[in-house]
Amino acid sequence: MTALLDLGGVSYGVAARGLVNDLTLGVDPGEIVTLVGPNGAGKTTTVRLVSGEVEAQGGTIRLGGGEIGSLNALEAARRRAVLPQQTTVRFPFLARDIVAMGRFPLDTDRETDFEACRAMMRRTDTTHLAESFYPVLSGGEQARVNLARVLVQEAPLIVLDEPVSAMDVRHELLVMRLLREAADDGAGCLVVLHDLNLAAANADRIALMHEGRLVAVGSVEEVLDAGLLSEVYQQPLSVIPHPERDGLLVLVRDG
Amino acid sequence: MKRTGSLWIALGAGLLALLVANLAMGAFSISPTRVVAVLGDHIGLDLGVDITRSDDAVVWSIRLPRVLLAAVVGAGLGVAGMTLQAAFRNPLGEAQILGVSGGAATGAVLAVALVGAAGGGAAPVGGVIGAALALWTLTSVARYRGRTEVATLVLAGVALAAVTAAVVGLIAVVVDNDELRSAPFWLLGALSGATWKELWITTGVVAAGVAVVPLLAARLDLLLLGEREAAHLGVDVKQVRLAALGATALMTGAAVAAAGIVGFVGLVAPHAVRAVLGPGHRRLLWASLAAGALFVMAADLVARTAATPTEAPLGVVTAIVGGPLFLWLLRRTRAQYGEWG
Repeated sequence: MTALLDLGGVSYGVAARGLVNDLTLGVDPGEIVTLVGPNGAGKTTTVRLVSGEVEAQGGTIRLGGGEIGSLNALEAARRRAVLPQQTTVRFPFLARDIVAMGRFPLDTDRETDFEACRAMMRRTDTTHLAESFYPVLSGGEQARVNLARVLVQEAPLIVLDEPVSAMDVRHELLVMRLLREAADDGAGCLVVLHDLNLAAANADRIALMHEGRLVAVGSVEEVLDAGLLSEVYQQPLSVIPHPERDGLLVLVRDG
Repeated sequence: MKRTGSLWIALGAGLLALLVANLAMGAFSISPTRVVAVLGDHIGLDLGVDITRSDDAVVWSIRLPRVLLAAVVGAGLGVAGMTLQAAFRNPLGEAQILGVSGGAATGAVLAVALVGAAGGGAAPVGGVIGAALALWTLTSVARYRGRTEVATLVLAGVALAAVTAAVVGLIAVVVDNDELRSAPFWLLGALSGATWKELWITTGVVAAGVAVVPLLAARLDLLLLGEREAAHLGVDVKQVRLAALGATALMTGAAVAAAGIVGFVGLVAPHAVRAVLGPGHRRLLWASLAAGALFVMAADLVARTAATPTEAPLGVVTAIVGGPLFLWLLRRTRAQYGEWG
């Protein structure tokens, strides 16, 4: 099975400051990998490397087996979709126009595109926003519209940089459910998350970054170690079993 | 949908009405019936109306090339404005504001001054080169870390516009050349003395620029979403921007070479039709083209007839009408979908 994403010893820095050092990480079809770590750990830089915004200075990045530098923009767009933290638009596009842009890399007919967009707007709870101007939507609404745009792109690899930071708790869970459905359909997701509990509840694997390096990657149980997390986040943290279901909870410890 | 249809009908009817009005009105008034008869006569249609030799000369040799040149100049400037707005992701994209028209005027004036009387095509060639150089200067100043800074772009444009206007004024005053038109022509714009030859040259260059834009329309939409987002969706952003700015240089260079600096067309035309059609470029392109043509045809009619026996400069009319119109559009747009951000 070819990995959807394969980072091999990737490094990138600006002005002698290493933002990402020797990062090796893969994403396979059907799995959700969450990328966690404190501010400045290199999570967003990793997203920028995978999305082709910046070029790695060392190591290799493969999308679906193809070296990222050898793919043109369109080929890359058919292999991975990217949801940036925020998308600011100064022109009065309707929300449905924004969603429809996600179909650009595909060679499907208009009818198929229309149906795909309509279905995805329903699933992302944005149908009622379809005829609204995107620039006047709230942050959380814009984020859902953009999520719909990214999902209609139907790329095998979906990379999301803090997709839920502007969302209320219901929509937070809606997003994670949609990503799980995409993974069940064979997509692979690399998701940057700040909320460790959201990551714990929804990840097949967690990758923990610290100062540009990957310090742990593996199952939720392997990575969510109270000692390791407390050190990385420089904040005493406890990890306890979830009271109501399988899984773990990360709690802030006083003092 | 209903509003969209009304807009196309209004644009079409407006263009037709202004064509006839421009041919009929002026120091020497000719009735619309005789105007139509002259046009019919030239395509071999006898409409049974008596037309004089002077009717024919005024309509066919003086007013028709002029009104058509107004349409072509307006169409070029309207599409150029829309394209600049997309390429720079900036609602203030407009050839005069950004100094692109100034660059074109400088290029055209220099070309005519250097090539002299021999240069029938010198002005458009110089205009296109001047516009391209202005665009190159703009991008190198205003682009930083992979994005175009909104304020820097406009500030750089203000500086470019001032410098180029000074250079044009200087050359026009210093160089003694009968072919070189006066500083007021270049800086304030005019369509007086339009000829068929000038019309064909201008049309050719403007059309070459306009023809590029439909190929870019879907990609320009994505560019408005964000350069980063467009790249994620498979757009070769550098290539699209280069093509868009190249097309802008052709349209602006030729328009300015023919009519001097005519401001506000690239602002008023795209923003007015965007308010009805939305920002999608496939439709916006043709509506901006028609609205630009309409605006300059109307402005030239006013320029020719308002201050008879003299003419008001074309750029003065577009500014007096376009400025307040644009302010009103800004307010209306803001009320409808918030600030520009």
